[in-house]
Amino acid sequence: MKDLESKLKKLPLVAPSPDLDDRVSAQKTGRPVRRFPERRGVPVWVTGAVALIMAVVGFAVGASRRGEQPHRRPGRERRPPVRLHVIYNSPSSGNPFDFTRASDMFPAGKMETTTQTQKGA
Amino acid sequence: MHTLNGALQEIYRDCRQQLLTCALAITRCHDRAEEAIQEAFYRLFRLNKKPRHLKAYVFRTVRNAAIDQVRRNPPPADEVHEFIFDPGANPRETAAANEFKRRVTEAMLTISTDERETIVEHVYGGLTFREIAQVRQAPLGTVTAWYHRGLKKLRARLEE
Repeated sequence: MKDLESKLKKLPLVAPSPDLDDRVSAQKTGRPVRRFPERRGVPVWVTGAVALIMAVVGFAVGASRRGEQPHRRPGRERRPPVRLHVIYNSPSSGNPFDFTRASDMFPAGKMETTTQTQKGA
Repeated sequence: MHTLNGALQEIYRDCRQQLLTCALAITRCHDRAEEAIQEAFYRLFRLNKKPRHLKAYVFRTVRNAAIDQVRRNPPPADEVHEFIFDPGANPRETAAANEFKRRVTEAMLTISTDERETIVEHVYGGLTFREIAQVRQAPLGTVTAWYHRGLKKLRARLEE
């Protein structure tokens, strides 16, 4: 082990910069290096007081509005009725899977439908 | 206070190379290592009372400042990391010596951080095992185990 230690000790090391002595000496009188601005904590009583005031104001506003009727928001119109587009198989077509020809459009709403089943179709 | 600053300056004067080497082993960046020394001495010059083991305390403060440096400014992944050995080509150095230096650097980087730091602190920092134990706040037996295990691994890597 001793031979390895002595070999290691002979290796040249990175030297300090010439101005490091001055920089270290300057730390004796230098001003503190603050990377981040000092934080001042908010006192608990201020936090509590603000929370209490906000709660009182919130309840007061809520109580005054409780009697009002709900009103529609201005600038928002009713949407046009949706139309329902139904495509069905035309009886005139020979192809039972042809749904391209006959179609009808109905206004949206309640619609009753009946289904007929043809025998031998 | 005045005596404490005088003692600190004396330690700095005697151990500046060792302090830089130990800081450099952690930061692996020359500028960050020197900044760590500055920060450490800024704190040391403001101590109210003299610590019991002043030299170990100075080394510990520099070590902590170096660790802080790495945490605050982690080196970019693409940065070429330096190590404690002077990479400058010395014309007096033979090719074999340069090759040995390169291999030692590589081998040092393969062993654990504790082992590497202990070797650097003992071989290049000139600290005794007891002082290293004070610096690292670790038991003496652990420190000697780190050292011998690290040196053994280093030897094995160099013989490969």
